[in-house]
Amino acid sequence: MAEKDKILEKLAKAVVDRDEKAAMAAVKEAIDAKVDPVEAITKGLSAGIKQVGEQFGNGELPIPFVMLSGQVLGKASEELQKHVPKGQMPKPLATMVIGTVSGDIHNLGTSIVTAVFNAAGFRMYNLGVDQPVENFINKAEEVKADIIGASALMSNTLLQQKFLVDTLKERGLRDKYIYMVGGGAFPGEEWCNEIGADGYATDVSIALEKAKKLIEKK
Amino acid sequence: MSRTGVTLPSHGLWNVCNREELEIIDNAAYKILNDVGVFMDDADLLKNAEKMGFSVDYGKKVVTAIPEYIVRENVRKAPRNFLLAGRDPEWDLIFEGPGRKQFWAPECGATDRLDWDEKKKTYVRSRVGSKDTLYAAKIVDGIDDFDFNLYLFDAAEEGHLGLPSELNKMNAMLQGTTKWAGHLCTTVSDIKEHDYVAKLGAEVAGGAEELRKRPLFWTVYNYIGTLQLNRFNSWLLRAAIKHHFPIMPAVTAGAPLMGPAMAAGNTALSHAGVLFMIALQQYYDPGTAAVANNIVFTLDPFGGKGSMSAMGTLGSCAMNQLWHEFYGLPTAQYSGVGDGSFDEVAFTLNHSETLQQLMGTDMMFEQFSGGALDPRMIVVAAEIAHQGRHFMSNFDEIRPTAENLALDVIKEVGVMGEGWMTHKYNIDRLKRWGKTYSLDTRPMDTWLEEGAPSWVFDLCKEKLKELEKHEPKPLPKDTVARMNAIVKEGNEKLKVG
Repeated sequence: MAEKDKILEKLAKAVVDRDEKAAMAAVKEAIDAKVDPVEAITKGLSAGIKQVGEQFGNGELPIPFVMLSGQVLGKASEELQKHVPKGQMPKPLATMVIGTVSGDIHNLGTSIVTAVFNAAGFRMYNLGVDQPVENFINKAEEVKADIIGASALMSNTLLQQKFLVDTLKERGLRDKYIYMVGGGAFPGEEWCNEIGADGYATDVSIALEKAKKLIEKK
Repeated sequence: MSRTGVTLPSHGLWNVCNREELEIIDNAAYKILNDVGVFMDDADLLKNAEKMGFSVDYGKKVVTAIPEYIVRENVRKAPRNFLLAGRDPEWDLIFEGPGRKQFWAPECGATDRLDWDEKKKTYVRSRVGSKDTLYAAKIVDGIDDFDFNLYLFDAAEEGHLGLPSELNKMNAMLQGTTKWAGHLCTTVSDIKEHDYVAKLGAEVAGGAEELRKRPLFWTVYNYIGTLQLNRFNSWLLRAAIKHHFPIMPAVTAGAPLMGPAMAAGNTALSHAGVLFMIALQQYYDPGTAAVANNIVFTLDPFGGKGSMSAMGTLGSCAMNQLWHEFYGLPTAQYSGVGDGSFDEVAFTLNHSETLQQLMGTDMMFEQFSGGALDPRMIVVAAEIAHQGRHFMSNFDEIRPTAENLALDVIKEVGVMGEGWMTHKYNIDRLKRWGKTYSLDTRPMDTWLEEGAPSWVFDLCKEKLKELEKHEPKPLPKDTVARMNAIVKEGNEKLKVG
C-alpha cells in the first residue's frame, strides 16, 4: 500500500475509533508527507465518518459514539483546512441550519440529526433550543444554507414550524431554501403538506435520505 | 363509597435499596440541589424561589444553594391523606398514606390516530382533535379495570389551528368521563389558558371552592434536560399554585444521553428535581396534594427514543421507596416504552407494569407512544391492568395463616388427592381465579379452526367495538352549555397565528 493510502486509512480509522490523538497524528503525517489536504478530508476523514453513519443506521452504534466521531472529524478537518489552498476548499453535500423552535427546549433530536448529517457530509449549523423564527432565517442567510430544519417535540410548539415557513414566504425567501420539519411532535405528511414544508421525518435515517433527495432535486 | 384501587399488601413488595442506601441517595439529591441547582425560565418563579431563601442568578435563571432544611420543611406540608375526585364520587381516588392502594389507567397523549385499512393492508394515519379525546375518554370510562382517565388523544387539531388545545382537551375529558380526569399539561398562552380550565373545572365541581376540595384533575410538568424547567412548565406551576391544582412533578433526564448512566446517580438527580418542585409548591400552596412521579427516565442510546432499561426500573423502584418511606407520599409512574412497534409497546408495557406493580407504585400509568395510537391498544392496556389487578388482589394468599395453609384439609384429602376438585375449601375459593379480559384462552385447536385470530388485531378490535357503545353519565345540559361557552370564549381570546 502506498504511503498516502496508509495515511488516508489512518485518518478514516481514527474517526471510526473516535481517537482524537490518532487523528491529529495522522493529520500531521499527512501534512508532512504532502498529501493533498482536500484528499485527506474527502478520502480519509469522510470515509471514516461515512462508515460511522452506516453503523449508526444499522443500529450498531450508539448516538454518543457518532457524536464523538463527529468531534474528532471536526478537529482534524479544521487542522487540514489550514493547509488547503484558497478556493479549493471541499464543498459539503449541503449546508443546513437546524434548531428547535421557540418555546421548545428539547435538543436531543437536533443533536442526533446534526451528528448524523455531519457524518454524511453536510455542513451543519445547530442553533440550539428555543429559537425564534428570526434566528433560523438570519443564520440561513448568513451561511448561505441550502436547508432549514425546524424541530418541535411538544404539540403546542408545532405551530412555530408554520410561522417559520410563513415568514419565509412573506419575505420572498421560500424558494431559496429546502424546508424540513421534524421532532417528537410527529408532524406527519398531512402537517408537512398543510404548512408547505418540503419534507418531514421523525427518524434520523429517513431524514437523511429525504434531505439527500431534496438536495438532488434542487 | 369509592370502588377504585387494589389494596396493596403490607409487605412482600419489591425493594432494591436498604435504608442506608436510600439515605445516601436522598442526601445526594440535596447535594445536587445545593451545588448544581435548578433552571427556571420564569421571573415570577425565580422571585418566589428567592423569597424562600434560595440563591438566584437571574442572568442564568438558575436557583442554587438550596438549603436542605427549607426543602424538607416544605415537602413535609404535602398531605398524606387526600383525594383526587371523580365526577362520580364512586370513582374517587382516595389516598390514605403511601402504598395503600394501587390505581390503574392507560396514558398516551397521541397527536395522531392509526386505523387499519383492511383492503390496503396498511395503517391510515390521521391527526386527532378534541373529538378523539372525547372518544377515548368514553372508552376508558367504560372499563372497570381503569380507576381513572388520562387523555389518550391530544387536542392536536385545535393546537394546529392556534386554538388553546389544553382548554379543548380538558373540556372533552370532563365531559367524557365520570372518573378522575387526569393531566392538565403545558400551554403556549401563559397561565391564561389554565384560568379558563379552572373555570371549566369549577363548573363541573360546583364552584372553585368545591374544585379545591374535590380536584377533578391535576397539573403535570417535567424538567426537560437535566434540571431545566422551561417557561411552559413554569407557567403550569404558577397556575397550579394560583388555582390550588394538585401537582405531579417528574424529571425526564433521559440517561445515558441526558443524564448520568448509572441508576444511583440518575435516581439522585430525578429525586432532587421532584423534591424542589414539591417544596416550591408547598411553600406557596401548602396542603394541596402532590404526587411524586417516580420515573427515572432512560433513552435508547442507539436511537434516542424512550426505552425500557434496568436503570429505569431500578431507579423507579428506589424513587418509590424514597417517597414512600422517607416522605410518606404516594407515587405515580409511567410504564412502557413510548414510541415503537406495537409488538415492542405491548411487550414492554406488560413487562414494565409487572415490575412497577410489584414496587407498590400508587398510580400506574400504562403508557403508549405519544405519536400515534391505534385505539385497539386501549384493550391491550385493559388486559394488562386486569391481570395486574388480579395478581395484587390475591397477594394475601401467600400469608401462611391457618386458613391459607389449610393443613386440616390437606390431611383430610390425603395422598391421592381425588377430593380436591369438589372440596368445599376449593369450591369456596374458585372465585379467586380470574378470567382474561380479552384474550382467547380456548384450546389451540379451537383457535386454529376459527382462523387463528390474533389478540391485538382481531380480538381487541371486536372488544373495542363493544366498548365504543359505552356512554358515560352525562353532565347536566346547562353545565355543558356553560362549559362550551367558556371554551368558545377561550378559543376567541387565546387564538394565536
